[in-house]
Amino acid sequence: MARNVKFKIEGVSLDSEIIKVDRTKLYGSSKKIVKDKNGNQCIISNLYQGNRVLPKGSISQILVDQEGKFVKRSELVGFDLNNKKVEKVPSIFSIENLCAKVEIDEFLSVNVKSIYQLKIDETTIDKWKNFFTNDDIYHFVYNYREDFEGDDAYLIYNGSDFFITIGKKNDFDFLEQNNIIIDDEEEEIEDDLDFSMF
Amino acid sequence: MIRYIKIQDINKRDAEITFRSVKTGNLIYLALENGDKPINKRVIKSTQENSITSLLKTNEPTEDDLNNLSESIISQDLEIDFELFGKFIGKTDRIFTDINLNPVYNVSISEQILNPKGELIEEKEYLPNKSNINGDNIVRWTGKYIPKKKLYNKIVLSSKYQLKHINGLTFDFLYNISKDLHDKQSFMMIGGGKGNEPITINDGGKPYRAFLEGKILKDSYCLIMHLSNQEYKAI
Repeated sequence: MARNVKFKIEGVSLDSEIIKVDRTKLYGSSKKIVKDKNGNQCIISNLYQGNRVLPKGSISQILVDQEGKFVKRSELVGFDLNNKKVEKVPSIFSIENLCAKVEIDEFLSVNVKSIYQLKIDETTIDKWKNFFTNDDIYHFVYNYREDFEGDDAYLIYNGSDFFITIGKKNDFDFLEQNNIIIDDEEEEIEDDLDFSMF
Repeated sequence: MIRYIKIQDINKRDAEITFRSVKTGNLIYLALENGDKPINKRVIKSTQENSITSLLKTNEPTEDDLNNLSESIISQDLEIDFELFGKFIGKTDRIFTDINLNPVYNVSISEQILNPKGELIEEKEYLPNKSNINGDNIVRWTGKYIPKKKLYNKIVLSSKYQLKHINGLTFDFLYNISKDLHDKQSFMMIGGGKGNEPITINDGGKPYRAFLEGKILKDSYCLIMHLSNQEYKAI
């Protein structure tokens, strides 16, 4: 169910429902089906020490302290990179989210995690459009639930719909001729989505 | 692992260069009150004999079966596997099994294509995508400049890779591409095949549309390859 979020843009309070844009609802999806020689569908299981088959879902991740005692996630607190405790960032649903105008280059630097569309009441749509007449982009801090670190969220308008782009902004390095660095480290590639556009 | 990509410039000359993903890590870490970081452990929480399907003796349990499971465990006085339950484990292998957890060999893999409603459109042989960004392949310059202000709200530029030179010649090559795009304040669409195909970075990976964004600052440059597989489109 869509939930209502309050925004404050250039001193004006606005609100809208937000709906997650699931890529599979736009383009569909694909999935791999594995079958044995008799045509029966197979599942992926874990093999432990070469002789024990463990069913899917039989392994959990837990946290322990230095003495090996179980630690609840709710016992953890957030620290910044200077090892100072930080306060929790509230959920976007519990506050009026302050939006600040940003440059397009900041928006383009973002590694995108998710997209929401705004479902704006017809009576306020013109008010919204007034803030986006010059390809304006607004930033606010996003946390679906209260947590220690928020993501970067950006409000944009594409001429027909309003969207929130959520992710993390980046600072790119400018390279000079003598910056020849051959990276020699493994990195994971987020490469798990289907493509069916264009 | 050093990763290479072969790309073209405006003059259709190509060069092999390196690239890496750009991703800001978390600025906050979670720890106990005293600042000690907790340790992540993998632990066994159930075994084959104690899986729900084994306990219920059916692979397709009904709602009633599940509702009665607790009573059934109590009345049968079943025990957990004391040897394995709660045991810390390291890596495990992933294998294909049938629904009774018997290992399966000689599998065939197909791919089901589902429409946005989740309905099956077709099932076909699974053919993993091949990487098309290096080796005999060249990522081609399409010549299609797209102003930044026209693209930013049309497609979702989800991931970023920074392209880097490997010697003086490729520095000039990438600097000139960056300067061209910087001056035009535009993206350049690049593509695989003859330039009209999406690019696939890894064998078995998914294809993406790719766009170059270039910036210069005095004698330095920043050339970013943005990947996208989604438009800004309402559902």
